[in-house]
Amino acid sequence: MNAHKEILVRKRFRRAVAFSLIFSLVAVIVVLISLNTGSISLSPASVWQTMMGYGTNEEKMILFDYRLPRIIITMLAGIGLGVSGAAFQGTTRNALADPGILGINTGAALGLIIFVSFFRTMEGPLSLLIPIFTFAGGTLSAFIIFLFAYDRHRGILPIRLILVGIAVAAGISAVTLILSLKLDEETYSFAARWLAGSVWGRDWIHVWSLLPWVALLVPFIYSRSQTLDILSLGDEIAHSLGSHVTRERLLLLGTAVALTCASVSVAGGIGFIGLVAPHIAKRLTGPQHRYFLPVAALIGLVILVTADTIGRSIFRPNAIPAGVVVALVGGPYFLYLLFKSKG
Amino acid sequence: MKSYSRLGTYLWFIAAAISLLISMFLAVSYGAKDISLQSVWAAVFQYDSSLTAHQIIHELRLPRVLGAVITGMAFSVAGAIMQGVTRNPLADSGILGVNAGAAFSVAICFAIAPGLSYWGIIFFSFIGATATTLFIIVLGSSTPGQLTSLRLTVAGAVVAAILHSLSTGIAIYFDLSQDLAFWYAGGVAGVNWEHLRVITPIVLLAIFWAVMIGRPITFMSLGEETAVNLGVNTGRIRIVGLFIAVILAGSSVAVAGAISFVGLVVPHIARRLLGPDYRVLIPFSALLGAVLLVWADFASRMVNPPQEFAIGAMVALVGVPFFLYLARKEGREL
Amino acid sequence: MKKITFMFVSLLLVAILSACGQSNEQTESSSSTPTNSEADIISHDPNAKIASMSIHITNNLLALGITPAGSVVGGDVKDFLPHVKDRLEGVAKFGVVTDPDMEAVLGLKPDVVYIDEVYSGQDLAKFEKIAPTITIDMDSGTWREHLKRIAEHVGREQEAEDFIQDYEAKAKRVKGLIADELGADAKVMAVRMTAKELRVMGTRRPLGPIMFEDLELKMADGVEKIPADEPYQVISREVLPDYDADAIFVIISTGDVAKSNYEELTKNPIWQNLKAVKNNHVYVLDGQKWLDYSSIGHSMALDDAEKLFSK
Repeated sequence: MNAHKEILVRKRFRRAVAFSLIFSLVAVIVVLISLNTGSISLSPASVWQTMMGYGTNEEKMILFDYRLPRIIITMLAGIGLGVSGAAFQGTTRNALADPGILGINTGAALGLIIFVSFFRTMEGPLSLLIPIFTFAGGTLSAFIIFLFAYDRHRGILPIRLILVGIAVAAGISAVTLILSLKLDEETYSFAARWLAGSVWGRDWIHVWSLLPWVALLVPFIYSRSQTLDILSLGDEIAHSLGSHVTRERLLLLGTAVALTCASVSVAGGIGFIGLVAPHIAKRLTGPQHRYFLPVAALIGLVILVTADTIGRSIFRPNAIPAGVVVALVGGPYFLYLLFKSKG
Repeated sequence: MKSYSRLGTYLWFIAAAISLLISMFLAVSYGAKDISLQSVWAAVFQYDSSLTAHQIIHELRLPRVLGAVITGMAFSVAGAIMQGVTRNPLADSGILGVNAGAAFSVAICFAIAPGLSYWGIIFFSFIGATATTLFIIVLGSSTPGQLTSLRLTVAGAVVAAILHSLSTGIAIYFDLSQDLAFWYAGGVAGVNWEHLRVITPIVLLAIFWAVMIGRPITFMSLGEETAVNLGVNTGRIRIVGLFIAVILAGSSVAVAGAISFVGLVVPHIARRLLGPDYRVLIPFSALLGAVLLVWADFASRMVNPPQEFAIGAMVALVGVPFFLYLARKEGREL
Repeated sequence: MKKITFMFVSLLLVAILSACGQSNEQTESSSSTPTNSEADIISHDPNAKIASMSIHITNNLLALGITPAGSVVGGDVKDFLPHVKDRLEGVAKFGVVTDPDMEAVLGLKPDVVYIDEVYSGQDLAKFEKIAPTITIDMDSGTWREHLKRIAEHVGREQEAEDFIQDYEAKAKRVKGLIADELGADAKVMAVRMTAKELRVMGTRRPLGPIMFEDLELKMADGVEKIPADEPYQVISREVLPDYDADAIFVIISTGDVAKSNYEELTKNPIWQNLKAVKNNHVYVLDGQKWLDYSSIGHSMALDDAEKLFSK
């Protein structure tokens, strides 16, 4: 029996490693393609040479000043959205949880609009504050949502959570709309693009404002894989296993909200990645968080980088926000999940 | 169960009609330009086209207020019908994605065929609304297991999210973002007599038709089996009902943009006051919906004149708490 | 389990450190390259390859007879402004100023870059890495000052003076034409119809200076009440008659919605009953020229007015 279990564990581990490697490879390819997208074409060979420090001055600037910060932001945001989606699904026991649908993004958007209304700029050192504003907005909306979706006897009710999320999102976007109509045209059109999910960060400062959040929170969530496994089994089992259910859940939820908001603050209100990435990962490597989380992170990265590259390159000269591309793929997937699951 | 006396019903109708008239009068009387109540009265009943004040009332405020009345009626009756025939207490043309479908096809119109006539836009708006409704219903009926109303709601919201996202994409690609954004937010400021001449007959006929099938809708809202036992052809009534709802939502979206939550809130209040009989419920919802939108429009231009807020945002501020309340209440039955 | 976590964290730390190291290296390299601050380049060859990061700087250059090698485009039209488009054929497009295509700027290999302090001031370091950069604050000072300032850099002060003198002469001529048509004391207002609102233009730029200073037109009632720091005020159609203007200048924003909004406005009896409308004193301006606060834009706006009033 034990031996059998061990074989199973080893098999899962191997699968997880194999898929992680496969998706790392895919990620490298996607990132390389994305690095080649721009007004000036750089061959993969010269990208490689420049990376190694042998490029011309011009190639260095294109790569390090213009393209790299943007791609790193896209990668980080993809990882953040994928992992936070997995954490939402695990802690709420809701296969359909996604920060976009739950209204966390809209809360973050409200935070951003408030920031823009106050400071009238999105650049310079002040932009380090943006994640804090979006986090405050996202937390507010998460708080309202959980307040309404929580049932004293049965905990957080999955479908009600989504329903409440939809309503809160509508309410908060009404407020956002009121605020954004007061912005001048240029800021407004920026805000509109942001809401549709367009990766706008293009300077190293934006990388620095996002990196700490991803670098700290993703490992933290990963370190709680076991807790997530237990929480996704349901409250009763979790209780009987001696886990501090409520405390752990709140902690993980807060972390997931923070991670979402940080990602959203530089990448725009992108939905559905947090839904799709964990689902695919789970299907490939099984339900244990320690195996599927890394794969989910990689899939999130691949999706966002791909969507951003497609949006920027195919529709020239008007770039389509990555969020639109993602919604085209992610939305139908959500519907599929919704109607496949019973009850 | 509470009993709803005939007298009470009459009284409620009279009260609603009076408050609609008062609201309309207030909304016509106040605006960016101060006009005395006497000249407002005179402008409505003894219109003199040479006076500027009369023209302001007649050409700017009246069409606008009437536009709010008509679209308010249409959205709330559409919501009432949808709630009845789908037995979904959370049904609303905005929440179920019907408005988004209409808006999406109008976005395509703007992009591909700018300068389309008014009839053309309304027509495409219908097509979009119908296609979305069909899609959601087909999706629902091909589902294993029972199609719960909540799942339908979630599906509608996601369809709306996808369509919204696509419309944004189209808007950005074709440089329409500013045109569309404001239009998405909804508003009756641009309504003129010509629009009213087109949509008023459509909306009134559709509401009349809805009242005609009010009886079978009432039975359906009480339960599929009850309705079948009482000899109702449920399939036919469902299709006819949704068709009427789509007409109402589609034409209103074409005039006033995608305003959500009216169709959700109003029928619930009406039902609480007058009970579940749709023959009464539909006309009463129409009156209440008109009052709600007249006030929403009035508020949207009086909060911070001369700037105007989006009417959709105004309604959402009222509608969202109500939706949350309903979601919590209905959630218990899960 | 713990081991994995530890490895993961330390890996990330390494990544962060290496990234930081790299950025340090970068800032060092940028500070070690000889940077040409504005003071070093009082003037440069007018035939130099110029990259202009402001549509207004581009237009001031054109006024001096200089065509830049590349320029940003107008945010509204997503292209070069229509009234100067023919003079900018073959010029590289850098995208909109709020989100410029830096790679295109770099690819052009310009000799000198002109930026507008307001929009691109924060990215000065980036531009200086490409070429010596001249910063001009386009928000303060008049277009005459901007023109003279740019003329100094390209050594064409005389051209700037000539241009301004031509302009003043033309303004005087147009002023006379307008007075002939409307009478000397006519009060005017300028409105702009956009997709979402109707605006009355105030005394501030872009429209205020040319209308009320250069052409010395009298303001319609209430125009002076528009706050001096706002370029325009959004109004309700209801108050249009209150301005009691003798003549109305109309600008229609680009796009079909704005156009149909205006058409609808003209059908409205309130509009038709306005004094200016009844007397046939409504002038639809070639908006892009008037809204372009630059030497060439204003000069072309005067040409537009001359055409409208000499009929």
